[in-house]
Amino acid sequence: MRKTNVVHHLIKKAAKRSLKRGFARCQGTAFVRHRRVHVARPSTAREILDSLGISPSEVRAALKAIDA
Amino acid sequence: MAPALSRFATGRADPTAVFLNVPFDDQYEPLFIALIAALTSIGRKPWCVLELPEHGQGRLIRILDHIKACQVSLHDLSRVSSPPRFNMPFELGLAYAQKRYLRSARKHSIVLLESVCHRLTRTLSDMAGFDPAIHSNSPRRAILCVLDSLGTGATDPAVPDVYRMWKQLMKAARQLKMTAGQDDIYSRSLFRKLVAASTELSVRYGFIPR
Repeated sequence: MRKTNVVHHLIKKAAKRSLKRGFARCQGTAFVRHRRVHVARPSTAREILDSLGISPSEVRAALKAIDA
Repeated sequence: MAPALSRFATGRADPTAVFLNVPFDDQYEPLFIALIAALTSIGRKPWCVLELPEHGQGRLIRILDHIKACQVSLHDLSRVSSPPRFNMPFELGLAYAQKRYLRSARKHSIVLLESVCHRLTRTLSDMAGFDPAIHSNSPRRAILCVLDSLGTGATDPAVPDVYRMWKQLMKAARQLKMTAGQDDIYSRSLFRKLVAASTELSVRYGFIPR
C-alpha cells in the first residue's frame, strides 16, 4: 500500500468511527483533520421506509406476511 | 411530494440509495430478494424502476431519474443466454454516461455483478478494468457480493445471519404473492411490501436501528 493510500485509509477509518459515535450528524460526511471524507452513514428503518414512501398499511401487510 | 420524488426535483443523489438494474424473471427472484435483504441489512435503500408508476412519461425517463437520484447503481450482467437481454448493459451505459458527463453524478459508484468468472471480458469487453463481483447464481454469494462491495466494515452483519434473514424473507415473499394473487414479485406494490418486510426483519435481527 502506498503512503498516500495508508493516510487516506486511516482518515477514512477515523471518519467512520466519528460517524458511529454520532459526532458527525450530517449525511455521510465527516470532517477529520480538516479533510472532508465521505462515508455513507447507514439509514435507519424509518429512513428506508420514508425514502420509498411506504405507507403504514403496506408495512402492516409486510408484518402479516412475516408472521404468517 | 413524496421524499423519493423530491430527490428528483432537487437533483441531489441519496448516498444510501442503491439502484437495482437486474433481470426481472422468475429464475432471478431468489437473487433479487437476496439483494434486497443484503442492502437493507447494511442500511441501504433498494430502489428499482418498478417503484414509480407509469404515467405516460416512458420507462427510459424513469430509469434516468432513478440512476441520477441514487449514488450507487448495481448492474447484474449475468443474463447472456439466447435471446440476450440488452436492458442491463444499456442501463449500465446510461449510468456510466451520467457519472462521466453530469457534474452532480461525479460521485456515482457502479457495482457490477456476474454469475461466471472472466465471462464479462468476452461479453462486454468495453468494461475492461471493472471487476464484477461473482454470485454464481447463489443467493448466499449474492449477499456476500453486496456486503463486500457496499459494506462499511466493522459494523456490517455476518453473511450467515443475512442468509437466515433471506430465508425468512423468501417465505414472506411467497405469502405476499399468495395474498396478492400474483405469480411473481415484480410489481410496484409487492416490491414496496417486500422492502418493508426486509426492513422490519433487519430491525428484528439487530442489523439497523428502528
